[in-house]
Amino acid sequence: MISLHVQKKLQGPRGTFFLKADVESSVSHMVFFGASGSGKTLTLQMIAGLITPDEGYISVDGDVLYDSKKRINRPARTRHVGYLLQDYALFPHLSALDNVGFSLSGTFGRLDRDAKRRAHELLERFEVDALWNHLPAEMSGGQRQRVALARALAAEPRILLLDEPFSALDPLLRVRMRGEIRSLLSDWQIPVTIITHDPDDVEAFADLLVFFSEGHICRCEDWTPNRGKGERSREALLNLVQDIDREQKTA
Amino acid sequence: MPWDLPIPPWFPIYLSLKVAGLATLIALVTGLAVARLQMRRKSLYSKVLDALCTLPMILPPTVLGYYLILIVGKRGILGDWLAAMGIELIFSWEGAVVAATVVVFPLIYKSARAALESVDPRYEDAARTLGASEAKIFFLVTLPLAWRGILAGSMLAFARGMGEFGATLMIAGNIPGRTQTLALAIYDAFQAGDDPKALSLVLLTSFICLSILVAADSFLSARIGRGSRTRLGSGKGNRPAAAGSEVSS
Repeated sequence: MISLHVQKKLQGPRGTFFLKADVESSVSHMVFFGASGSGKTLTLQMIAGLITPDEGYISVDGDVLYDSKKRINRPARTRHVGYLLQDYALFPHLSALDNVGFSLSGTFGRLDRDAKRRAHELLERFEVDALWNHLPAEMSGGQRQRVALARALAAEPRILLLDEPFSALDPLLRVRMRGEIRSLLSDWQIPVTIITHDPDDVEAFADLLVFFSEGHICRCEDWTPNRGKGERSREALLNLVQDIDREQKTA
Repeated sequence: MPWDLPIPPWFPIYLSLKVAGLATLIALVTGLAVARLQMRRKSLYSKVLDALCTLPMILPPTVLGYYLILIVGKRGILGDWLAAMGIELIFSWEGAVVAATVVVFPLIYKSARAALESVDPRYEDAARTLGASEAKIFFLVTLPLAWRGILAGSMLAFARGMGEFGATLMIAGNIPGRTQTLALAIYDAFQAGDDPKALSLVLLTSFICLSILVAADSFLSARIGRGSRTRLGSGKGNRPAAAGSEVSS
């Protein structure tokens, strides 16, 4: 259960950007959809605790992460929110094992035997254990994504945020990884929020579709009737986009 | 060192290496700490502090020497306290270390700050969401990704410390066999008309400093070569040559 009501004003190079996002979700897969620059990543970063809203309220499963009225703002490290950045941001100087073990190690990076075993288990689950001593630069895009997911899940997050998880992959690999990630994530039973502007991601993942436009959420649609329905999902999405376009023109 | 024995000819070299080495070490620890505090800060307070930390690079060493005498001299602000602790900085080699530390501090601080800030902040963000404390992020993420720039800055600082003259002369004086470093010994030999000695010391100093510069440069270019391989695909954030250009300008 995610409850999100936030506002944020940002001074950018192209003037002021105002973000206002209100959404309540209790589904397992929520998809943030919208053009780039519509505030999707900013919203995700506010949930993760990397950016502080101007005001509002964020809670996960009833646990308050941010509340401007009560002056609560938990730091990112205590939020237990897993966050997969767009290019994964694997630590370039650490091996796959040390990347996955990062959240399990002490201040100076020592992995005890249990932590090492746990990291190997995760790498095995994601079928990249053979690469345990490879640096990120020595892996392919798909392998990097698996290691990054294993790293995020090693910290035992309550929710997982994925920022355009497939945009860094080439098109054929994208189709394959979409299927694999979906089945892997279903083993974990944690709510996932995915940012995308790819209709195929919406079709494959969305239980709830949250449509962003110019810093606002203009639609929240129950997408379960369309999920996994291929053409039907794409058509529904197209109709939705046209609807919103028409509304914005008349307004 | 007993006064009746002749001073070995290698003493100024040994003293210069010792003073420059210790000064670099002290400036590395303090400069890195201040650089970490100042990292990605843009407030007025931080700008003033940045200017203060850079000032020793601009001021004539004699001005620094004078300030140091005002602070650690016998009648200086800390004079009584240092005397009570049994620390004698004026006319001692320890004083030369203090002088060299102040002179090389900006070189290390500047290059360390540039190197730390050139690390893509998204790595630090990723670490935060993985539950890491700021100390853990610094030691496991930021520092390992910035160490080449910091090391290159430290080597430049060491080379600069080897040649320190003005501030050292004012605090530690020019006592052969006690506080006479390479730079001071050259001046002494030149004044005494001992040209062969002056020339040999000049060539030796040049050789040591040249080797350090070559080594520092190869560290930086190695960083660029490796960096392009390990960088994220987005092409923003890291500026590999920033640390080097900052100090050499």
